[in-house]
Amino acid sequence: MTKIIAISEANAIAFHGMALIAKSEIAINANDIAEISGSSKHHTSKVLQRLVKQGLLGSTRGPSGGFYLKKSAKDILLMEILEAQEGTIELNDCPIDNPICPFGTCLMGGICYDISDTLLKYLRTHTLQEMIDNIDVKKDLFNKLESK
Amino acid sequence: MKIIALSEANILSIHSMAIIAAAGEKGISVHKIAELTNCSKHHLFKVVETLAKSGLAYSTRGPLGGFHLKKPADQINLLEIYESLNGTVNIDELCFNKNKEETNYIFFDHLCHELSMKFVNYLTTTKLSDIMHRANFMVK
Repeated sequence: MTKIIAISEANAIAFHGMALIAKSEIAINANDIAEISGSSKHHTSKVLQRLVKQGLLGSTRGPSGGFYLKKSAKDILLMEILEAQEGTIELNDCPIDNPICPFGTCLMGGICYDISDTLLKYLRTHTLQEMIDNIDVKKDLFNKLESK
Repeated sequence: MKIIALSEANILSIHSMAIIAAAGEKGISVHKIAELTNCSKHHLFKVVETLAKSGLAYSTRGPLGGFHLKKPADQINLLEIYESLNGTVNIDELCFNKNKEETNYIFFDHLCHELSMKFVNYLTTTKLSDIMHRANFMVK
């Protein structure tokens, strides 16, 4: 499979995890998120730990423990979720970060820059709240977790 | 982090093809392309070899040898060059894994698809002849 936009599996787990945690009425843990998102438990735990480290999530221990949002979903930009995984993202003119273009101007007419800029602007101006307002998490998924 | 999933090989392939096209009948060596693009000869050789295997370029031996286009530049679009390294692009699978579709809560996936399609359309509609003039000054 050829992916054009470089959203990695870790990034996808981070977005899915944050949406599930924000939407859930009970505390959910890494195993639950891994199960729902179809990712490995190990990978999911690593991603969630990075979100905790960056101050987006908190966690409680114990049998009914799990993750919770450290701040309101309307105060979390999607960009913060991505940067928690990738570090600060800066837009470069060159898709391979070549400091000096041998052609003088981008051979591909700057299309890579335009596409990256559009996506980053979107992530900088949309919040986790807007994301969860627009998704429909199947109720039976949470019912299944509550009955555990 | 790069937003567009383009490898160095992808970029080199498009840049090399533009230089080979601009060099015209006299052809150009891998050594010279590496010098012009400021990249490793070894990496470039692998890229150009793949382009040759895909039927986009061919090489001639000898002191005046080098790489040439296998067909006219106006008959090669950038998607062919991209696919020679990456395999066929499937427009249904441009963003996220299909098996995640049932639990896909990334609501900007439509934007990712739209942007991916914009890129694929650019590659499809841009011919090598549209960009090769930018390499003219390099092969004079």
